[in-house]
Amino acid sequence: MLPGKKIQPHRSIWPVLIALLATAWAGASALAARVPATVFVTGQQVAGPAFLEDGRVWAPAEALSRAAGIEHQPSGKDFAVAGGGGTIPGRSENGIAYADAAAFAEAAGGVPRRSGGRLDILARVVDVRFAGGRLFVSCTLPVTYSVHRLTGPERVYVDLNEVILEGPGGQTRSEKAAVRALRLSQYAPHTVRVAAETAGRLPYTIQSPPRARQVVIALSSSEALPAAASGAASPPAEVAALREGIRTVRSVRLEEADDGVRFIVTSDGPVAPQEDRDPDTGQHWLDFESALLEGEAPEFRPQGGLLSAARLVQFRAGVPRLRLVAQTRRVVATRVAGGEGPNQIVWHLSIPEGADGDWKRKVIILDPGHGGRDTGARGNGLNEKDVNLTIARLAAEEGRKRGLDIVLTRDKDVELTLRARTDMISRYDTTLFVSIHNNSNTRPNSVSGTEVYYHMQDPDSRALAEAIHDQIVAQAGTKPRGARSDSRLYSTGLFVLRNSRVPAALVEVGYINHSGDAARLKDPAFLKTVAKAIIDGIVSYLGGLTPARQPAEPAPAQDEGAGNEQ
Amino acid sequence: MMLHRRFRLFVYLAAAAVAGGCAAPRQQAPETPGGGIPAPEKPAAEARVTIFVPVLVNDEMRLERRSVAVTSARPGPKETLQALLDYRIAGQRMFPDGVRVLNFSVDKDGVAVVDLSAEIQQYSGGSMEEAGALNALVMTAAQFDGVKSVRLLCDGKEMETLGGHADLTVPLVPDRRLLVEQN
Repeated sequence: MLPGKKIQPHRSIWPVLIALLATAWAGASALAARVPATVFVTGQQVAGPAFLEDGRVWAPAEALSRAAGIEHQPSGKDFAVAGGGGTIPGRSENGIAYADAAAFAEAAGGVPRRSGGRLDILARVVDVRFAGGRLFVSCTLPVTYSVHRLTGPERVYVDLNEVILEGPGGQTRSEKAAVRALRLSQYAPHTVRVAAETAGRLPYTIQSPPRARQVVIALSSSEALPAAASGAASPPAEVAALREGIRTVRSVRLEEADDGVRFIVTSDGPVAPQEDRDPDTGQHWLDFESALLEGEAPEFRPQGGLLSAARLVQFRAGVPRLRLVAQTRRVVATRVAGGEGPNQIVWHLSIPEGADGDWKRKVIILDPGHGGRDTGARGNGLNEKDVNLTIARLAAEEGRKRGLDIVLTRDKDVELTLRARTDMISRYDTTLFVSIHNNSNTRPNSVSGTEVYYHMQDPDSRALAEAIHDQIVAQAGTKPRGARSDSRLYSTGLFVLRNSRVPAALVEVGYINHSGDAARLKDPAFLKTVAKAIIDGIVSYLGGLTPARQPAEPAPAQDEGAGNEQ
Repeated sequence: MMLHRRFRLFVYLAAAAVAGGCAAPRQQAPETPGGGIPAPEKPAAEARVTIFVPVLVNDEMRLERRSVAVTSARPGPKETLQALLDYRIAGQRMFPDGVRVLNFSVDKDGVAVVDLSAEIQQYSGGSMEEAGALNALVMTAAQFDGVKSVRLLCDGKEMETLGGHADLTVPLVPDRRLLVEQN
């Protein structure tokens, strides 16, 4: 080597170096976002590698199904379980099909409980009965159990492991039966006890395998039992639930996290609150029907930028109804999930996916529905495909002016499969997918207005749908029909939403077979307003802006709710 | 003479017609797959089947049970589904003209496979209209033994969608929440 000459890598080595660096960077990012996890189905560990990523635990679908004793069916990249409702999100990596373990649990009738990287899937008791001299206890998943005997009074009890009760438990009695009473209770946090009080000492024989979905205990030797013994209890939980319908909320705690806040509500039994919001004020709330507050209402002091205020309101004294209100400062994604144990729920409010505040250069796919031979809805001299395309083109123009990177799935009158539309998501670094449609129904001039769909219960897509819906209604003055889950239409949802791996919404601007909506859809100024509103909705989602209108003072819920109670 | 004979023939025919009409049991005009009063040239209905049709309740799509007449003496799933395909709401068909049920079977997992003729590809409609038609079809098919979900085929081939919204690559499960309870 000559003195003074710098060593230069050969030009051809650069692509290799860049590729190596890119691979290392991608690998590091993936590892940073993913941690190993363990999944247990009623105490039995699911075989194979599981991992936690973006708040979801993924486990091999095959092993999950085996542990749950349930058949699963591939459905595209997703799954469905035999007899279960809803779709289970799936993904494939290194030739292994993974399922969202919590969604699997719910579809299989189980209850997911996550703590860090461990997910426990618990079973529910669905039926307890005594018939033909045998005690039958049915659960949604296979469970392990133990059987014991006690005296004074004589009773046999079964402890079911990793099981929870839906209701508060209960008891039935029948003095004429061989089993005088059946009692069902949540004996320990994950143990349900079924106690059978017998008329005298009866031998018992376990007739089910050690791990079973239906536990069967024979309580008569060879002697025949009187016919009155059959059907002593079915199901005790329901009987008791009627008697003890009112819940007591014991505590509500606010916790702040990096991506949002969560309210932890603990009560004396399972509660099923209804979630709602007011688009005008940015208020979100949970209503607890048949619930009373124990003690004084807690005082919340939100610190982060997500909430400006929160409060728990007991509707008029003595009326068993509670409302937990959160005044938000921006578009938020919300979801209600189970907490620690059956008597706790957690209300999460978080910054939605992709909504980091900077919307410039983000790739948004706008999908004008239908096209070519597929006209979509027809009526009042309109073809839906044409209206959709006009709105999408105007929205693309508006979005590009605002700095968004807009991609149209079609920019002319061509036929395109639904798969081709959603395939475009992976062709770009897509942040959001918005499909633009107009509606029709079986009765012309009946229904009118705007509805925006999101997939199932996806909180991010719901936040996007709400943001777009609110903007269209506020700016174009259409009748609000709400942001809606596509599960209201089909158990599997809508194709383009189900097959989108990014937050997605399907906008139905108006009803083509309604003369009023159709007249508006023929007006170029109206279409331009709708197009701008769609982009405003997208920008308010991405940019974390305030809702469609200015927020009002927090929590008018007390007045509104109390006024409704008689 | 000829006139007299013709007159007598007319009287006999008229009497026979009146007698026949009186002897026939008086029936309420049945609802037919085509909707409304049955066309006179069609043969008399021989059986009734139950189908589910979309209705609007508070501006939301729901399903209502209907009993309709069919010409088959022993109608099965194919005839029942065909009655739905031919059904009219306010004079309008829900499904394209000429679409036929080619085959109906139920597999071991309880998935009913309904194979429709190629005319189904002519379907167009908004999402609510499509949901009404598809849910009606699924609920109608789900009344038969062992049916848990329904998969639609077109001429034996998989369909991606019906009207550009629903996902037909997976079986559809009947949603009983949509049913309007009738007394």
